[in-house]
Amino acid sequence: METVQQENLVVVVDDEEPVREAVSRLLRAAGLTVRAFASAEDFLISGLLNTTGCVIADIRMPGMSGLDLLAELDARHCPTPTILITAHGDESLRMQAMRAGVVKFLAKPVDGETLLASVQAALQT
Amino acid sequence: MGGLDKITGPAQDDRDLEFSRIVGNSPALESLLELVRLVATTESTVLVLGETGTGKELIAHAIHNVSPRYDRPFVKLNCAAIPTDLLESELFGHEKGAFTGAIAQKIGRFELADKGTLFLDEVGDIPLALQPKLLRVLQEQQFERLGSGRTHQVNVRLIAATHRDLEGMVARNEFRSDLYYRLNVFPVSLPPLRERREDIPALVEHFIEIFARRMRRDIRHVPAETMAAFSSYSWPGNIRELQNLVERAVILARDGVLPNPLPTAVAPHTLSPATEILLRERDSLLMTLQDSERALILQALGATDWRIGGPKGAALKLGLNRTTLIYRMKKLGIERPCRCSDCASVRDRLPQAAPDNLTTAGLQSPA
Repeated sequence: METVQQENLVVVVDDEEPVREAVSRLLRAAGLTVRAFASAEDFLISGLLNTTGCVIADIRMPGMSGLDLLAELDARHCPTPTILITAHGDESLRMQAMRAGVVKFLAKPVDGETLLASVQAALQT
Repeated sequence: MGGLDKITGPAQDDRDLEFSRIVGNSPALESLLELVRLVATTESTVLVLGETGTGKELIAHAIHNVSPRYDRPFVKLNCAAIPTDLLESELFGHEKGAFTGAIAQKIGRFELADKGTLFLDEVGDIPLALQPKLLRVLQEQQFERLGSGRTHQVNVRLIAATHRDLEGMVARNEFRSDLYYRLNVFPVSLPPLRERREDIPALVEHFIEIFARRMRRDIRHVPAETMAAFSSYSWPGNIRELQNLVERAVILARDGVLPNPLPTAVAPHTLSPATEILLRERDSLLMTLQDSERALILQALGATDWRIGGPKGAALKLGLNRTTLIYRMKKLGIERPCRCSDCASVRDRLPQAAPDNLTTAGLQSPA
């Protein structure tokens, strides 16, 4: 049975497989424990919410968006630090996100060094 | 709504802000956020005004996050936290040997913030002698490091903040008027917490979640009396004070119940400013011990349904004689709350009575 270190798991949620895989690979190379999901819905039913130390999610996804995920985590009283990957033009979404949960923003394409620094900060929050 | 960097990374306050959240939906907050939305997408300098602890840095961060610079650095400097002699070097950097002790080249905050946002907190503390150089970089986006003749060109958006009356400082010649006008392009005033009391319950819940998670505590219940006390307190230290008191309450919590960490009888927010200052000074001396004692007693009373004596009473839980506990309760002004919520909120606003004036009514165990 898989065991995950309490609250140190990093979860990647992105509907685009290449992005999901690239981000996961980068995080694993840095020694982090990673689980990747193709949708927010899949993550929410995974049973991993309470062991997740940081979520990285695309703000724009079919089905539940990154913003919806943030609101759902808040509703479930899981104030998990969340890194939302956004694009220029998402200004109003970013404002909504800052009111919906504990969040930080990164731009696409994601810079590896910035991402790792952000994840490390999230895990210490 | 920090500094204290360790060698290994940013301090807790910094990390908290990096993953920041804006909590509340009071009209005062909505008006503020509308201004943030309006100005964020521009390149204009913003002057954030507000009392200490109102969240000036959080709003600066929000402006950066909503702006097109959101994927660029957000660099901050608290001008009041840096010795005057070092402030110029912090802002603009220096070359090796520029002054005694300059053993290596240093990059200043303006360079670090290139293409991003620089947040200058407590900008009113910048000494007069340094203000022309700041004015120049704001107007021309150019500066030289200390000890260098080479001009650096940067692209920095400035957000400045202060709790001081800059206009008054200008009138007293303590702050340059030309710099003031350059900073005051788009002023944003943050409301004090006492003017957005509707947001207090949501803020309390938010901080409970954060601290309970961090301390691995399970807080399941916030008594109505505790929330009423939070909601009626004057909060001179604003959200930072609320955050600190929730942290204290989470530490003191037992059996999943959040105790009231406020002083025995908090000052009603209708007191005159002078009286508030006097009470604050008195409270700052008395608060820690009294608060802790009161919280422990309230905790024990809550757990025993206000039973004082007997084998299931609070006195035994606290390791005190029944009479000693009653004495301590009188001294701290602890009375059994009326079940009626109106009475509780009124009682919480009453000033602390001298022990001699207290009656023992309501102190006895129902047993």
